[in-house]
Amino acid sequence: MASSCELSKLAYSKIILHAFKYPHTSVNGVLLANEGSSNHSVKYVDAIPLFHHNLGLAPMLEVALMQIDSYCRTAGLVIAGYYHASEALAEMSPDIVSQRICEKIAEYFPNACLVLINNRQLAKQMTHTSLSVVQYCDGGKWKVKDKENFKILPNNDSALDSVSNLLSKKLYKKLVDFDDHFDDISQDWLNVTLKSMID
Amino acid sequence: MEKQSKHWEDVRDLFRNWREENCRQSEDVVDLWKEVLANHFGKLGDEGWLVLEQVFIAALDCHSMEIANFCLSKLNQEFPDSMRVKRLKAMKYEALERYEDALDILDLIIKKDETNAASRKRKVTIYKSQGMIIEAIKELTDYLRIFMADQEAWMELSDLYISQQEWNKAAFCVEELMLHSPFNHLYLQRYAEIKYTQGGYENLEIARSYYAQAAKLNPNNVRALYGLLLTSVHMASNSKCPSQKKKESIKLSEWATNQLSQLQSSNDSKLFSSQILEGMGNLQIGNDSKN
Repeated sequence: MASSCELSKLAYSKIILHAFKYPHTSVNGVLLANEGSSNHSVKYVDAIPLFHHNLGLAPMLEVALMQIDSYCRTAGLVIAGYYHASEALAEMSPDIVSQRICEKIAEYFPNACLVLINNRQLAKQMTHTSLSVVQYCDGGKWKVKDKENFKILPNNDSALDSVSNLLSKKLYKKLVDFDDHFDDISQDWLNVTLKSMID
Repeated sequence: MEKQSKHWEDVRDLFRNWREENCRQSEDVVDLWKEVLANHFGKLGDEGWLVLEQVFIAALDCHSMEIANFCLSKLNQEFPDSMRVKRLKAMKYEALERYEDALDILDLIIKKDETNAASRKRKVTIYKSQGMIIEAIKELTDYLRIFMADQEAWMELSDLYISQQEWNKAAFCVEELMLHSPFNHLYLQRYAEIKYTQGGYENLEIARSYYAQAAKLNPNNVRALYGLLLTSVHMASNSKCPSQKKKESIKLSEWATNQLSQLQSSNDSKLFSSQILEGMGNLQIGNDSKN
């Protein structure tokens, strides 16, 4: 059972930027951790945005996960978590699609975390991390992670400042998810250029 | 910086384009209105009312209530008894989460005019915004009994069913769309996606044929190509597949891979399709009844 869960500035920024790019639909993506990460303290080093249409359909999800998996093997990473922002403003519990995807991820990375975006707390000037985390435990139960056991690196405040800065520059327009990639195959779902702007 | 040097006529044309294509560019609409068009509103003539409506809706999307109220009051002044303006008022209540007030206005409009399609559709979105998907589905199915040719509504209903994992009903909606537009490769691709997600060998076969048709109609449809590749490889490795179909599937998967390679060769992104073939078996998310 992982006792703490950390999110790098890069992963956190991409999650928030993805939500801001498509405010009117649900969005989802996977979280990557270093290979060989222990279950006691997971650090998510990157996030790969997946879709903003029809999150419940399987074929493109399988193709995307295969491509991400291939990438992970070359980069010494592993798919270890999942994030989701609901379409409805007030929705705060993980829907069935998110649960199933995260359960699948947990088969390969036990105790995978499901990060939910709290839509109401999002703002151009971020004052809350706007995330809530549940963790998949053996036996199919979902356990809510307390705020003490979940933090954004290097610390919550500087991460919030950094993301607010990105939002003011409207950098979410430059984020590419898999739906964008499938619409135009020249778009880079690894977001390499965006990464350099975030760091 | 580009926007400030835009001439108001260019912005007007851009807005016209967006209205015709039904694009949801709310942030850009609001920004361009503030920076350019608001100062030239008088020059727009009758088109100005359409622009006000467009800016109003975009402002609601961005929660710029000042701009929204300005547009609404101008429209109300000019068209005081209009059902269309009343519907916009209902949308404002929706944006403020005053759903009961919004529903009251919409019900009033529908009572006065039973053929008012747009108001009925707004009721569906009110349910959807509150996460009341079952009610939204009921409202939309009632709507479609009357307005059977509304393709946008069939698509929306299909999306709602997908979110509830009602694959048969979602597929039925897309079948209606395919009847309307049999050469629309996007509908064919969507149908294949639903069938694939449903699972089972027969659905896999159906998915493959619809993906193939979509790819035939538009060889640049990346989802159709990947879908064709995925379904062909699954079929070829499935014990239920007769050898004739296996050979067919292998040929199709090769064709799809070639198409994808050609599309990717024009840019320097990583090509993972060969690795996809390798890693095929590992990450099946769909129903276990696939095999």
